[in-house]
Amino acid sequence: MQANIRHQVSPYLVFFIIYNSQVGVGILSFQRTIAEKAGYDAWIGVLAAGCLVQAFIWVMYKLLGKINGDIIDVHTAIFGNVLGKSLSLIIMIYYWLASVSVLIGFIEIVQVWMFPTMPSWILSTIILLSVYYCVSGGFRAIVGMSFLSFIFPQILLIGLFIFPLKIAHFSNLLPIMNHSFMDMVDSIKSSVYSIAGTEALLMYYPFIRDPKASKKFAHLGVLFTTILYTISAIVSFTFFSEKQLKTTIWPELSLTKTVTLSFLERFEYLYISMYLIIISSLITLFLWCSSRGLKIIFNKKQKYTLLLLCLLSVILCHLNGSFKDMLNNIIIQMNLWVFYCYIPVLLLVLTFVKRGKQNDE
Amino acid sequence: MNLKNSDKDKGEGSNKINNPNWLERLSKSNDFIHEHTSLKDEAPFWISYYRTLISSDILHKDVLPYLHEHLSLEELKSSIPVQEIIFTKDEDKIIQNILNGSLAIQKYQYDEDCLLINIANSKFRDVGMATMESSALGPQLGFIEELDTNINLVRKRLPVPELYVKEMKVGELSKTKVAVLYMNGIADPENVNTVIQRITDIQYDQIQDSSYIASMIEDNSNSLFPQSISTERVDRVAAGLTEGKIIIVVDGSPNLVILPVTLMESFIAMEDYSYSWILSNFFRLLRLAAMFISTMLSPMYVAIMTYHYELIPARLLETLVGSRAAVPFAPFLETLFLELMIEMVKEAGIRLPLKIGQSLGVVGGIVIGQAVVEAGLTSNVLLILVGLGSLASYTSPVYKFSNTIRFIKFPVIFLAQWFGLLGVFLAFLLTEIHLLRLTSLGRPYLSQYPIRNTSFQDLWVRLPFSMQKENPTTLRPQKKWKSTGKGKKMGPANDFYE
Amino acid sequence: MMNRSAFCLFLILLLSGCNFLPTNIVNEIDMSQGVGYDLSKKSNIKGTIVFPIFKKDKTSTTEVRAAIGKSSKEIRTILNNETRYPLVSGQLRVALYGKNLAKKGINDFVDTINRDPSIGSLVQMAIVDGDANQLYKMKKFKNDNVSVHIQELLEQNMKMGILPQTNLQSFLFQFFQIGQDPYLPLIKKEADNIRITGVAIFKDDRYVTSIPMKDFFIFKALVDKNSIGLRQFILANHDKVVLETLKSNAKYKVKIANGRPEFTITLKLKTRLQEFAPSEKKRQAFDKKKYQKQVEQEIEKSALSMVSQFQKHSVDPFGLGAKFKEQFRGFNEKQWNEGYPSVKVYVHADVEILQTGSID
Repeated sequence: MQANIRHQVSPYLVFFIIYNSQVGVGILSFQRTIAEKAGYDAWIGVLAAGCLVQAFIWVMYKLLGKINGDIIDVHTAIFGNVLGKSLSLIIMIYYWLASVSVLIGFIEIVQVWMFPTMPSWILSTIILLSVYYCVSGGFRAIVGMSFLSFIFPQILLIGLFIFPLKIAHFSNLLPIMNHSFMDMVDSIKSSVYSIAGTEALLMYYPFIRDPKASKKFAHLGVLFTTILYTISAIVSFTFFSEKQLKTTIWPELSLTKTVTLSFLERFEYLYISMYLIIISSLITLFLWCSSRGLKIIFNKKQKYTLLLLCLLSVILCHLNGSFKDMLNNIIIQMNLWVFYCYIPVLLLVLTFVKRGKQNDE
Repeated sequence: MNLKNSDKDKGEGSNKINNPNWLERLSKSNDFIHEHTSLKDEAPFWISYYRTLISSDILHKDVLPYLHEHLSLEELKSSIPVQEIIFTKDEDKIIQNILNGSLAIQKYQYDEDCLLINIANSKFRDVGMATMESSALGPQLGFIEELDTNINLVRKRLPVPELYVKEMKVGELSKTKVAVLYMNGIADPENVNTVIQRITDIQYDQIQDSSYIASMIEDNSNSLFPQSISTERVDRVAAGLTEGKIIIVVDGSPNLVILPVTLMESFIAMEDYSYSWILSNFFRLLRLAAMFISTMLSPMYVAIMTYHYELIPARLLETLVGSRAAVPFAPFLETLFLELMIEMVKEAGIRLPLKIGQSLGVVGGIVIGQAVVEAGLTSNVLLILVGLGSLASYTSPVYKFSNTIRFIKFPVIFLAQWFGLLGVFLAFLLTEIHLLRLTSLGRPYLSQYPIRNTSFQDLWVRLPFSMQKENPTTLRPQKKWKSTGKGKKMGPANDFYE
Repeated sequence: MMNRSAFCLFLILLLSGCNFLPTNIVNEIDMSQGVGYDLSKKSNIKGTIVFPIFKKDKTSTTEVRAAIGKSSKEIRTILNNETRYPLVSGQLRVALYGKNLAKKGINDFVDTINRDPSIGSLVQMAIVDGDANQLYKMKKFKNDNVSVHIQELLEQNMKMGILPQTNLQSFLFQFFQIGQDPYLPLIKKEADNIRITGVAIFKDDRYVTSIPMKDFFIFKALVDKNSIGLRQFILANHDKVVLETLKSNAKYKVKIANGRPEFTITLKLKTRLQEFAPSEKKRQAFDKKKYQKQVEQEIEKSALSMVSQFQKHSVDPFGLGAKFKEQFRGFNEKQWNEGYPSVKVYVHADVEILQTGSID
């Protein structure tokens, strides 16, 4: 089911949606997690994970192209109404949990770095209010946010890498490939989680004007984020010594500390504040996916589903540390099993089902 | 509404013997004159008019001499040397025309037939310089308060039959003439229909200015951002028409409304086209930067001074902290106080007569500011920042937009006080979302998104004329190309001069 | 519509009344710009905090406060009792450690600087030959900002002079790097002045030895990527040659010989002549080739003596272990640490004098 042409977006904008869905709070801290086992070879893992995501994009396009609709249409086409919708519900819950984990991650950063006593609900409320405002503007406004968040903070933030590169120790990366295969697999696994987010395509596919033409922009988007993550990993690896990195929770922010201008020091405060824009557009995208899914599944107005999700998110943000770890674990597991195992299987099933139907006829 | 109804009721009941209904209604005013043209009965004409509306000059020179002869109304019509003469029986029309300065001529006092001669006294100021949007270079011509003259000015610049004018009357009481101008074959018919539809839908007693119309047909009237441009510059209107924009002219208003517009157009001055494209790009960037300076500088000061002292470099610390060492207020109150003071000075400067206004600017800006710093109520660094910000808010060539900028920093200051730098960027985020949602005639208002390649020709940047060949596609123009020529200049094409 | 705007208005009124976040208004805090730690009696620490006091239309004065405690934040809490405004550390510029404390290890005090997100990573660190507290308290700097003075003194010498680049970030990098030991500048109160007297070399976080100023030039050339600086060479025949480096590049090569690593350090210097005084007091043209050779020998000699000094104390500021690890896959940290003092190191200097100034 294609959406109304008035709500559709040009194919090239898929680049920005993909970029936006992949870059969140993860990029501020993933350097440490990927280097846990694979050490300073982990940047190769990021590149490998990028290839994996490219393949995943291909699978999703294949799957959605067959039905020419979103994941809910795919599910109902294969499993019928009831089972299909309940399977879709799991994916919608994943979208929601993913946005909550981004929100929690950002709140934690703000509390640690800027306002230690800031209550979580204030920050989550103001972010979710702006998210609600944006989602109510429709999909075009959401894509606009992705686009603008790329233009304004992201390009500037990439430019900031110049400062740590001035004192980089590139020899840190040597010797290359000095870790076992299993260690590398581990780094790929955690990188895949860091650059996750492309799965939002399953929901917004019907909103792309010319899906076939958009495919190359989706691949380009993944390429861009892969390179962004790789550069970010390399800059951190050359800036910190290995043990130092393992003590640093947000390497990206710590290395922004070195940015000094004659009228401004300590760029990380600005960095975090600007990141508000990137975070909000990411949460907007995911909550849009989730609330739209719920709207179709339960046949309720999107207004109400979004409001419900926002309220639940504010409550979840108040839960403490152990919950956060649990949430992250759930998301990692769901991401792996649902998207990298289930979706390809779904494609196979769909191919056979369709072929079977054709044979019947 | 009442007027109309009573009018109709009486109109049906009137006959030849009674006074015509309109005469009775109009003669209630003392400046209404209803008289016989001569003492003798040979030329029995009755004339009726409002003394205050007609030009007695024309009446005596061009009309009265003919009324002494014994002529029928038809003969009169062909002999009187005035352009607008109508022969009618319709009462509504008669009332309307008399109220607009026509002279009504009847053969007999109770005659239904009526000759309406337009001898309205139209005293308007002469066409002069555009005062609000002045420019150093380029045409200086500005519109005035009269609709016909304004359309005349536009037609002179675009002498093509494709320039369509659609006239309407708006306002239950004011009956204001409103004209919609567009280029047929360039402007998107959908846009034109929308504008005309929205104007005819207006239900309001009075229209005093084009801004009434502009804000009544806006897509989102709760927005701070003007979704149309009000201009008094003839060149801006003519240039807009050729790109497929729609112009609304309102009688009695020297400002014409341009629709649909995008945000970036508020940073474009017509003067830009008088300079080299490199210079005009510099000016456009300057104005854009000025907007950010004006809206972000004092909130940044509040945020950094209240929460993020870490951001200040060691060498600036002494200047910044030393300057406000004795200030008893929090940075937020200090900034709010100074900003409001500057705004008051500006407001008073606009309201006061021109000559007093000028001296007030000096008093307010220099004397009070200096005294406030001397007294230790604000820091002098802040005085510089606020002064800079208020200066910067006036760089936008569109007056309405510069007022938006003037206002918008206040909510940002509040957010900066509550959330520090996070609040400043929250304000940025909210504005961004708002602009994304905003439309002008259903077209996206924020020109940065979605990207159109025509935006690179003459919107964010201005390329040389040889490279501005397409009309801006955001308006969905019917005509794609501005220029069909290759735009090549004379001279060796592919190599240096010999 | 009415309801919504009324609600917004209410919200604004509610929020404008209160700051729900604690503020740090610049003129209502005391910003510590320098901290110093010295060893006190009974394993206690004497902590010094330096903060400026700003007055309107006057130059700032420096306030130095000291207290004795067990941890740096405890000291801050004690000092808070005697300051007008709350003490904050976000403007910290310089951290000094007394030599005696440094001999016991400074890790505890670096940890808090590293942990506190409000402290930047470009904080300058230095070891004081003597007492950090005494250095801060110098009369001369009462009306000057002593912390900024020390910070800029160190920074200009790192940028234009012969002091190797160090700061909090570099210290942490070296501290955590496997096969490398950190180094920091050593400063001293001399009469009425603060002087840089040497580079303190650490083993882990403990001060072990130092190198004197005359070795700075070569040390900097060996550790920094591109060092510029001036050095005087008095050659065997008492000719005086002063060279200024324009470009330097040190390359470390590892070779395994008899199962043990051997290092070759190639130091390439592109220099220009600044002063030349031959021992025979006669004006003579400068013989580039001859002097390049002699200077090279001089550099190799002092570099080698420096390396053997480090090996004696088994400290590794050059990061030879890290270099070894980069080029040799089967690196074993323990084995390396044991073998380090006897590792063979060759230094090969390659000096090129590009310019001799406006005369030859």
